[in-house]
Amino acid sequence: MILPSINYPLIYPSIFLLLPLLAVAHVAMGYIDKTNWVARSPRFVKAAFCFILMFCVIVFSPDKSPRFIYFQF
Amino acid sequence: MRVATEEKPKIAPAPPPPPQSAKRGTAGATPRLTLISSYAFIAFVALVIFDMGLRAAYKFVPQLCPTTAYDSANRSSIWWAVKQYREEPHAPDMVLMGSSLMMAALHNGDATYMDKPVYITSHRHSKQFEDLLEKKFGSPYSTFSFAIGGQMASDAYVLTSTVLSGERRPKAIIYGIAPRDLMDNTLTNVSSTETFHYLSRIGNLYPLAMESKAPLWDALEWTLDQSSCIYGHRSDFVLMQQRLDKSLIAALNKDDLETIRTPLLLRKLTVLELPEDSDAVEGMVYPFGSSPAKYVDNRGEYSARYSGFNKRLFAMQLGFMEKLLKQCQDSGIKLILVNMPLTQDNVGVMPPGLYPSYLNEINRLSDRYHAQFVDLNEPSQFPKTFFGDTVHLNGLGGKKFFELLAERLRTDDKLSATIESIGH
Repeated sequence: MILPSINYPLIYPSIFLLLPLLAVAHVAMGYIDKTNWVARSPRFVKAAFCFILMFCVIVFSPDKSPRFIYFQF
Repeated sequence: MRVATEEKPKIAPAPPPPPQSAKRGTAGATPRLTLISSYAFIAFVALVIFDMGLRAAYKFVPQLCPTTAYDSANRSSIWWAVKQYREEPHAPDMVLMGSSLMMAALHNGDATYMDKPVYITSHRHSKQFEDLLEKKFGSPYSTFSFAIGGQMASDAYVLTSTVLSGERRPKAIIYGIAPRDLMDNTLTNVSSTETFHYLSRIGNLYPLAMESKAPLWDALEWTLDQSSCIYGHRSDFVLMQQRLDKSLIAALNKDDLETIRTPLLLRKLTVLELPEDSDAVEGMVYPFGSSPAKYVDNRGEYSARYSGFNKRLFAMQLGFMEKLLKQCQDSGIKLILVNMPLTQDNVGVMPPGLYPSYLNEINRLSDRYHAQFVDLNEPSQFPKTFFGDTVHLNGLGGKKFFELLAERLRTDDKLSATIESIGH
């Protein structure tokens, strides 16, 4: 597979991973939603799901604290 | 929140409620039990336990952790500088510090002196200054530049107290300063700079962040950083995610992901989103004369920086300058403060009283802590043709700056003695 010559910042080459992942997630979430899988699962699975969700929110939510940017563009 | 009611026996009608007096003592037990047995609560408790475990791991077995205090997901100017400093075989004789004024003098000056382009991120040794010092003092001196765009006095202090200490302590610091380093109205608070944020991984800067009266949300964030290990190390998790991303992309593409290869227009857009993230070979400076010299009138930008004499900010930054001077005095680092050349255009847009207050205070602090002060803001030595804009020296100006600095270090008795004392 030949990717276009965009290798930095990482978000650009990551698009080629993110798009298939989102497509798969879309189908998977549709199935989960239809089958009521989360509601039917045991409590420890729900807790694990909740744990991962809380962890991801803490770690990967964008840092929007005001930063001093010296260079003016 | 769903409650666990499935396990309740489905037998017969519920018994009649007991009399009020019999319920006393057990009132409220059911809601409490419901909360405790909820999956959200269990997940929260697991998160707290995980947080504590992570804190213990970072404290007692740091070698098992996949990241170190020096790692960062954001390849900022300070990250590059610290990385390159740690890769030096030994601590340099002199560290050059300052804002983009010192960077411009070093990069433009050296590119012109060597007559070849230099990379902004990786060119850390002042070749011209080292050659001049060797010629004038008869022994070799090593230099390393920690000049970073927008560096405030507070950044210079945290840098000295965290990275330039212990075995990596230089013998001297030459700190090029200007009024903006003490009073820039575009700075919301001292802890908002990339330098401060990155160095807070290496040293405990929480007390300083609190001392500097950060706004409420910033103060809350710093407190959360301290109280939650997961939150405090979120950049480590982002870094791990990036490493995973890179290995997956590299498996697909087999390309070098460490080298910039992005269409310029796209790169300009990303600079707006991630202005502090840059590659080692991204910015390059060419020798003076290789392209038509162009003077940029950036008085508009500096009018915003200087808009009004913010005495609170000025006093706070002076406080950090004093801490820096004391730190150098206590740790035996010779500190030479150099007043950087500016155009009269730039001095003209400063609020009344800023420049004289700046000079008076710097002189006072230098005397108090036995640092040395060299004033190179001499319009006769640095005409407008030596500048690329109202503050940054071009190739000719940068070259002249180090020539004049080396000359002053040689001819002034006290400065000369200081330089000789750190020689080999």
